Amino acid sequence: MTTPGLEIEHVSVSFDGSPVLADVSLRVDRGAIVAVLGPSGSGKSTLLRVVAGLVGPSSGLVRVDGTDMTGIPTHRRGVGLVFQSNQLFPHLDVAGNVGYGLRITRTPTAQRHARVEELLALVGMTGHAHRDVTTLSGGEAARVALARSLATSPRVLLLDEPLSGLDHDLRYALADELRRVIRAAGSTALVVTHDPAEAQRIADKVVRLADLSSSVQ
Amino acid sequence: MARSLAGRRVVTTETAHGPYVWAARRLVVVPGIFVFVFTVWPAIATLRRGFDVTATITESGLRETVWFTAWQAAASTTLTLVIGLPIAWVLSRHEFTGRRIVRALTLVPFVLPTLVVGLAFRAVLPADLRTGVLALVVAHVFLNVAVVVRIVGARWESQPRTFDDAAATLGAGPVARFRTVTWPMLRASISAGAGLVFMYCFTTYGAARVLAGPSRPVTETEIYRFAVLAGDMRAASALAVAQVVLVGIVLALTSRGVTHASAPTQPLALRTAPRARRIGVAVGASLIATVFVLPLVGLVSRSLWVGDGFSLAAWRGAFGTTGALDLIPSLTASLVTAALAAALSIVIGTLVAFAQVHATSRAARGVATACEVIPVVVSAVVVGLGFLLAFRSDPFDWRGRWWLLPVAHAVVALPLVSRIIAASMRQIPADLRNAASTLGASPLRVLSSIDASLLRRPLGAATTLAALVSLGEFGASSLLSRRGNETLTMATGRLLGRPGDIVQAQAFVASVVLAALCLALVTFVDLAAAGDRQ
Repeated sequence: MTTPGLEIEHVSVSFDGSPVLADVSLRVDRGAIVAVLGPSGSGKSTLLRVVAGLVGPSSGLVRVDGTDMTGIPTHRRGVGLVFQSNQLFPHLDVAGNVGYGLRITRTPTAQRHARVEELLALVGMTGHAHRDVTTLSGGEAARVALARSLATSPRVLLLDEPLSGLDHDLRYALADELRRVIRAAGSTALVVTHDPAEAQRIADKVVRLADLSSSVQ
Repeated sequence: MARSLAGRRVVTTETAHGPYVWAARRLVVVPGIFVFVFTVWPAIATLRRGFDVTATITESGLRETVWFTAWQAAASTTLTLVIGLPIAWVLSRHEFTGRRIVRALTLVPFVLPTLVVGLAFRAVLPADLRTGVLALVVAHVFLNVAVVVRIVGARWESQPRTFDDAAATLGAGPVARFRTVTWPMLRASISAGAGLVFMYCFTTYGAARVLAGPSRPVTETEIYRFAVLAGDMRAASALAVAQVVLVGIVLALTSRGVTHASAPTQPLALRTAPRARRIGVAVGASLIATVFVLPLVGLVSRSLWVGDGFSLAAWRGAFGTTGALDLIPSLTASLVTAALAAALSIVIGTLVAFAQVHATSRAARGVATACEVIPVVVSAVVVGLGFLLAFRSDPFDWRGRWWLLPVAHAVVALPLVSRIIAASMRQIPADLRNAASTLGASPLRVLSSIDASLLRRPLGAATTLAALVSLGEFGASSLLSRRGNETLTMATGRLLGRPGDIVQAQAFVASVVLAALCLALVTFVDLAAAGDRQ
């Protein structure tokens, strides 16, 4: 019997009256990696934003490790989100970005440095701690963004098209690495992508967004 | 391969265009001479009189004036930031009905002459607060909130909302997000905005003449008093030198590290925002609108208030013989001066910008930069004083010449004009010109078909700005004023100093006409630009 890490129950979202998500339900076991497939514009990113608390659902609810997240603001959810375009803070260097969440939670400096080193090693970026993030290549930026989200050990890790900005070859190499890193961190993870091959390489289980709606579209 | 994705820095093609480099190097001589004769030479004349600044300032007790000017400017700047930043937040981070109108309203005071704003506050403030430090500081805040809204707001608008979202998913609450994401990104623009506001408040003149009261003079009003009323050119010059030095230092310290904002991102549509935030923004927006409309209403109603009742007497008199205002000749003088000043500053400003963008030699670039920087630190009153001192004997004996006034206005407007034009010139990709050349266009044809047509709108905006500066210019004008050809600002200043209910009301009549003229000019250019876009 597995315990659920993330439960999405009957979530609907509409912007200005037009529905973006209609009655979506999904369960991800604790520690599992699930990929949701869908074409662009199908509401995949919105689904992640609902889980992160950046968008309020018009109906339905989200549970993380069994706790109802309704009304809990983003910064108290313990949900990490790797953005499609990374969104590394341009005014901080690599270590500053990775250690950001730890500084927010007032982790002691020594401990924070150790954790940043550990994460940079995990994503293969040892020695790049003091680089300016605007000089990173696409693959490097993706690794740093992943390390930043994992630093605070989120209960659920969300990844929005994590490899979309990358070259073809690099993409599949990094997909395998992504799986290894998430596994090593032990997070429950939800990945959304439009690329079936990428989804297969990263996730334990792949579902199509269209199949998650219980109502007829 | 992945390297090709490194960084997302915008590559600017700064390939030099041969004929332009050639022309820029030669043409820069024109603004060079203009700025030398009409800014550097007057500055030297001032400096020669006021060179023993420290001695003069201590001996005539002017130190107190400089000190008061500095602290009221610091207080005004602080308060402007405290009030301007929340306004910038409301207007640059949210989308709501009427956003454009409210935003335009906050820019109105910046468009209006400072003298007019000073009068507007005199009209709305209760009698015992009408003059003094408080009135002056409040008027300064009103005048300069636009600077913060424009400079900081533009930066805020261009900061992607997703940085906030990213910080939230990493555990940062609202306060932590402001401290760790918003503030570091806004810091340079806040510092630059504060520097500009401080400079404007330190060199305040029009508002101070009306609001500061005789017991609390600021440096600019004292320069005027010494030069025109007391005939003490030494003291006036010493104050002018002290002021130029202080303003130069403040601007040098605050203007570093300003990165120019990239394209604005989409502001937050409020429909999806939480209720508390929606209400906050709505209340804020209506409050802003009220505060910015009220002084204008006060201005108009005061022009209709004669003695102890409402009447059209002051207005009727302005077109006839009652009172002391001849509206039509003053209006004509204002318009002619503004047109000449705008034309002159556009010609000189375009040449400065052209040299800044296209010249490659150090000498030409140096001259162009000097032409932009020197007029910035020299305030309007100091320009007027410099003109008085420099052009009353050989080699330039131009005492009382009518054209000194538009030339002085052009000097005051020059840095604003050249900056707008240079910014737009830089955005024209060099490859557009190269493409035109390969298609057979001669250098002149390239200039007329590419640069001139792409610069039409910024040139229009710069012309309006120069005309606005001239219409509202009061500092240089009051030192250069002569009998006859009195502009609206000069008429306002004169009427205020004279007794009589109708005369006092007519000062407000002149200001209302001036305000209407400025607003009409801006609206007209806005509409023309909107029509252009379609």
